[in-house]
Order: sequence, then C-alpha cells, then structure tokens
Amino acid sequence: MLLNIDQARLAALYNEAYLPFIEDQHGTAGAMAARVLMQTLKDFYAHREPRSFERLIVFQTVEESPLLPASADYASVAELCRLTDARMAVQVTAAGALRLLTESPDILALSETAVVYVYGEDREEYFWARSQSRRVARLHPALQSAFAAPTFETLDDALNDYARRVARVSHCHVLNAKWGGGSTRGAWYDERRLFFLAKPEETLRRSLEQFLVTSLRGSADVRPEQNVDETQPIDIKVTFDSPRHVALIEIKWLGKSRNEDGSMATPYYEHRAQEGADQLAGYLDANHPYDPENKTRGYLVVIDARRRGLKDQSTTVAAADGMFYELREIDYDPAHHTTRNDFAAPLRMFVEPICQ
Amino acid sequence: MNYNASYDVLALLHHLSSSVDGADEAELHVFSYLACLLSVYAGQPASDWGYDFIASPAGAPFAADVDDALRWAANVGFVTSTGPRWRLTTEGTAEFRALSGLSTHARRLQFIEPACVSTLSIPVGWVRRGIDQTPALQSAARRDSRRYLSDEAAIDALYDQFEVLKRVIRQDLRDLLVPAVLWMEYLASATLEGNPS
Repeated sequence: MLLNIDQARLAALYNEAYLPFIEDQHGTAGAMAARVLMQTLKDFYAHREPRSFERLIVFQTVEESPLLPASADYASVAELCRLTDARMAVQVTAAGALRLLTESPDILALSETAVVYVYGEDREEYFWARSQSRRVARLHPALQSAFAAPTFETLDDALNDYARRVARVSHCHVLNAKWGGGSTRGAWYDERRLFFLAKPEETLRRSLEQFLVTSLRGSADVRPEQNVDETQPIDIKVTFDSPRHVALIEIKWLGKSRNEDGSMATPYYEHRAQEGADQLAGYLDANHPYDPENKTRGYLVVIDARRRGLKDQSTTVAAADGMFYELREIDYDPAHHTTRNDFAAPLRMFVEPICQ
Repeated sequence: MNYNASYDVLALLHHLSSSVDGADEAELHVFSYLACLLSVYAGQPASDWGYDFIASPAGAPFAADVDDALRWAANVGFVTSTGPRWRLTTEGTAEFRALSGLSTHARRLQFIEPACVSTLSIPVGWVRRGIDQTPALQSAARRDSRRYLSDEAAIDALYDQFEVLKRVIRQDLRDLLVPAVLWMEYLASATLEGNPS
C-alpha cells in the first residue's frame, strides 16, 4: 500500500513550521529574506559552532527602514567569524553585506519590518516576524542548530560521530522515547541507563538509521534490513552511488536488560561481539558470489552498556563502576578485520550511565 | 541533447553549490525529480517537464537526459568534479545566468530553485528519503521494476497527496519552498520515527 498522508499530522507540522509563518507575516519579500538568512546561517555555523554564541541575532529587512548603528561592515561570513564575540547582532543587507550592530536591537520592534533570526541563551532558535515568533525545530537532538547539520562524505566518519555525540550520552529521541514522553518504547528500562529495555535491537537500529539519513549525502541510500534469522544478521544497508559500493551494518548490544514488568531479560557480554563478528563474516562469505567486484564491506557496531558489578536489583551505579568499560576495547579472535579487506574494524560505542 | 535537461543541470548545480557545496550525480537526479514533482503540484502536466525518469536499481529517480546533459556540460567545461561532487565552473555560471533570462528557463527555475533550496531547511538525506517515499518510486520498488515513473495508480496517489498538501497549506502562500520542505519532511519522518508506511 502506498503511503497515505495523515492530514492532521501534516497540519501539525505546517502550523509549527517557520517558512509559511514568515511568508504569512511578510509576504514574498519575507520568503526571499528567509532564504538569505538560512544561507547566511549555514555559512555562519560552518565557521563557528552555534554554542560559541551566547546570543546571535541575524536579520534582513523586508521594507525600507532606518539603518541601525553598526560598528563595521563585512564582505563575508568568513571574515565576520574571525571575531570571537559571544553576542552578536548582524544585519544582512540587500547587497549581501554584513553589518555588525553596535547594540542588540529590540527584536519585537525590528521584526515589524524585518525577518529576524535569534539563537538564544536557551540554545533554541527562533524566527521573528511582526512581533510573533516560531521556534525552529531540529530534526535530531544532537544538532546544535537546524542550520548546522553535519554532512559526512564517508560512513566511517558518520559512525564515529554517532558514537561520540549520540550513543555516548544517548542523545536521541528514539533511544530515550520511554523517558521523553514518546509513544515508542525506547532503548532504556531506567532513566540512569543501567539496563536496556528487553530486545532493544529494533530501537538501536532506528536510532542509527535516523542519524545516517540525517548526516550522509543524498547519494547514500540508507535502508533498514529485515533480519529473517541469524544467517542474515544485517541491520542497515547503505548503498553509495558514486563510486558504487555497499556497506552492511550489523548492530550488537552488550549489557543487562529488563522486561517492561521489571523481570530480568537476556544479558549479553563480550562474547556476543565475537558472535556478531563471526556472523557478519559468514554472511559476507555467503554473499561473495553475488558481489564479484568486492564492493561490499561489513561493519560491526557494538553498543556497549556494560556496568561493572551491576546487580539485578541495582538502581544506581558509582562512577568507577559505571565508567569501568569506557576504554576497555574488545579483543576479537579471530579478528576478521585484520585478515579481510571487506570487514571494517569493529566500532564499539560506549554508553555512559548517569552515575551517583 | 535534451535542451531542458542541459539547462536544468546548470540550474541545479548553481543552487546546490550554494546550499550543499555542489551535488553528487545521484543528487542531481533526486533534485531534478523533486523539481518535476513541484511543477506537477503547481498544476503542470508531468509530460511538460521535457524528459522522463525511471527508478534506478537503488530505487532512486534517474533521468537518462540529465545524465547525458551532465556529460555534455563536463565536455564543454561548464561543470567540474572534485571526487564525486560536481560544481559549476566560472564559464558554467556565466552560461547559466545568460540562459536564465529566457522565459522558458525562468519558468523551470520556479521549480528548480525551491527544490534545491529545501536543503537549507532540511538535510539532503531527508530529501532523498522523502523522494524514496513518493508514490511512483514506492510503486516501482514494490514491483521490483525499473519502470518509467508513470504508473497510473502511483500518479493517482501522487495527486491524492497533493490534494492533502493543498488542504493544509494556505493557497495564497505562493512560495513553493513551503510545500517542498513540508512534503519531504513529512514523508521522510514517516519512515524514520517508526510509523508504518
């Protein structure tokens, strides 16, 4: 069945969106100003991290209005970003010049004749127009700004970034669904991330899939795979067009898990990672006849939530125990990644618990 | 050489160079297809776009005329590549600006520009995922076929989706960037947040 659009859900997205809001308030001129601002912000955040600002205001007027006092004009964002001011207010003129204002403007008053972007002290982003605002939604919580989405050329870079910014502190709506008020089950039984919720495989897969779709270029086709049995261990398949090659990602998790009712479920320890590596190697061998040019590469991703000495009845963990496995890499024997050129080095992603 | 495709390649790379630092070959086809769909949304018959699309083995849109146009543009020095990424050369930019003054090209820009500029609001990967979920590509994937993206049931489903979009989006808002972003974000998020398709 082809996807039917849920009108209520679409309407909810529309009512929260800033683009129709801006055009509604300032007409076609507002729509054009929004484009200029979005491009300027992308350039800004390519040169400076959003969090380097305590407050950033960027605006473009949509009708004639008196110029606010500026300390300097800059020809490019790169030039302006050499400044390290934590608070900035910048006007983008019609000619593309960047005027650095001497004082922070009155946003409400300014928005009567301008489209105004604000990155605030709350780390949230807003567009203002005619004294009203719309918050800019971020498609992934790990993003510092909706206009600072990293785009990786290689899967390795994307996976390393996922390990560092998402998995490490479970910075993801999908992983934290149970505790973020979401309707899906999430990965964790408890808020401190001591125990997985039983059978977190589907959740882990969706989290990584969402991140890869967000952070890889459009020439990467990211697809979830249906695991029929242990002979087909692949969770995510990424097909790259130029040059054409395929990455097969298998995800394994380590740690303890509990069922929804609190009873203990299956735990997995270090040997599970070796099992995953062996399964992946076996799958690559079985599929070699269908890949005569060896354009397929296997990736084993291990989500490591082991905590030393964690008892079934534990509700807290001391830092020394919670972080015990932080730097403890897994020894693989056989180490397929050292003997095969179609097997990437396994990537262990340690997940920090919230310690006492 | 398809005249429309040759202009479109220049226009796509002009806009994608600003928003996402150029385009891979697959991305050119994705954004060309999105521009075509936006023209249908705006009331133009798909046949007026000037060239056809099929579903590639990877399930993405592909237009042979766009592929030919890219080779031509490279041969005459209008585009250059660094690795997989294509961009306009100085000569290509000049050619794009000169051709954009023609009314037929200005009409095409109405759809190409919002398709490409959508990447300022949502990630390129979300546009790709959204396009994958459009009715014709979903239909081709289910039939395991590289058919031309003109399946009747899929076209009906496309018009159904546009009808819903037009019920939600105020029709006095003329900017096609609004439906482009809203539609792609909706389709992509429907598969990324565990909702059934």
